[in-house]
Amino acid sequence: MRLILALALTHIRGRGRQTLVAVIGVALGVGFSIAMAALMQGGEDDFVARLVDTMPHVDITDEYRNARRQPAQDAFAVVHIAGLRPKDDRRGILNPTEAVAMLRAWVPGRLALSLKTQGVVRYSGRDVGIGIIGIEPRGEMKVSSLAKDFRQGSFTSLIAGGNNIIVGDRLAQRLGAELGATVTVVSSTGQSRAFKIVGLFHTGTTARDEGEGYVLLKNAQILSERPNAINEIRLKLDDPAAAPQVARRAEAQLGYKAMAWQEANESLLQALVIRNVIMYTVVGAILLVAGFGIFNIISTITHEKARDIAILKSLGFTETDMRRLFLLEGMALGAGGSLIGWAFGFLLCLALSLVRFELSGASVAQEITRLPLAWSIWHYLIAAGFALVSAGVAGYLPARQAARLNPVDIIRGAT
Amino acid sequence: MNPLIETVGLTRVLPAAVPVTLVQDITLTIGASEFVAITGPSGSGKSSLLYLLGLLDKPSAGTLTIEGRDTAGLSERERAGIRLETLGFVFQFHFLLPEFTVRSRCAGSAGSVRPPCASVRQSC
Repeated sequence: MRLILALALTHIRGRGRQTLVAVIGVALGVGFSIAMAALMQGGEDDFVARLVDTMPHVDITDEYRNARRQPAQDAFAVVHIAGLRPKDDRRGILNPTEAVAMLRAWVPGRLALSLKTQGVVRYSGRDVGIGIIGIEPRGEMKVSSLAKDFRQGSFTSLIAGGNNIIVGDRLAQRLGAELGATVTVVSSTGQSRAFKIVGLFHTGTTARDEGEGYVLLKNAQILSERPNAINEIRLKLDDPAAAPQVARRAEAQLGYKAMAWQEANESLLQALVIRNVIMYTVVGAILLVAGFGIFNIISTITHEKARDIAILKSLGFTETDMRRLFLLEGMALGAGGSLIGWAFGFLLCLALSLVRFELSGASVAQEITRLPLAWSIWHYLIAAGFALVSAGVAGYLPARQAARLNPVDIIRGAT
Repeated sequence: MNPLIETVGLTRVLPAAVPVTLVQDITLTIGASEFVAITGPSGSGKSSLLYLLGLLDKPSAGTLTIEGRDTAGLSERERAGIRLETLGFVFQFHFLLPEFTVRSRCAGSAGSVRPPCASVRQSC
């Protein structure tokens, strides 16, 4: 085997320029694949992180996944209910204190309760529709990602005396209001109250910056005429990946619909899987092209070395030895290219990580200041794996042909 | 004396539209320590006979026995094994592997199965 390895290395050393081109081809393929995988993975991670960061990991709302069971269904075996019209009870999570206490007992993370309602905010003759979210500032700070998006004020500003409201900076801009201005909020029930703007936030998501206002929970309850009511419990878990299990347990315990962030964004997450499939297909294609370079060089070597193959076979080398020899040459080119490709990919990622982008404006919902890159050893291993498989196939085809050569045919031709 | 190489009716015909007979009906026996020269005019089939005796080519008819072993049913691997361990082949023209030194050339075939012996190392 050592002799075969020495032979393989001598062969590829003997064709310096071609070897270099093939190795560079593989290295470029591996390098670009790594950079592309890092960018795609980085983009995905960034997207999921934003998703996980901006929304609660589990969202328990005052809805039911299935229609509630009617007493008659429990009492009789043969009951079919159709066109059911339940009495118009007031919506909301019943007995919120008990529900929260039950969840606090086992949920690994923080939770915040809120009451969401719709309304219109009015200031100096301008009306803008907003979603009014009643919160408990201290709990909210632990759960919401908004805490770090404040331009002015904070959640705690709500506590300090009077009726206060926190709005997005774009909403304030649309109203022409500034910090300290007193705006009128009219709820969907017709209740109207004056609120002082004590905080401005900027999340970068236009829908939120233009259409959300935070008030104290009790103020939201007054505005919606629902004392003691809440309609949402949001959970922020220590481990976001555990959200589906927590959601299932919470739903089983409370009866209300509990939705994990994965469920809420199922189609988006599926799209990411498809994106990954596309990415690895492209990576495979790049390395397949690089494989053609290897095929070319091994093919040339086998043609050139036909006489050597005859000599080696006459010396006692078997067909397997010959196949192994040329396969090894292909693999050596693939391995060399992969090693250089790793270094190239690393440098490419490093260069990409230094690129800065500043995106802002009405049409852009998010601001990205740097290209999101994921550093993972798997990108390197997968790219090298693809390269080696491609090199193996590219080397095997001419190797098989070389192994089948009949030494006498070559010797006869040479004499 | 046990024969080292023994052939009976050894024939090699190249298949073609008009088949070409290279070696026809050779029956010979070569014993140990025997020095045999095969002579003849150019194109008489000397090299072709040696290719057959050296297990580089397969006969179209006849039998070839090396060290008492019939080579007809041998696999490619077994034939390569006999070439490696029993036979030595000196080509008519210089057939050298340009990548190797004299030492590695001498040790080459032996080294593919076992490290070159001391005598090979010393003489190279």
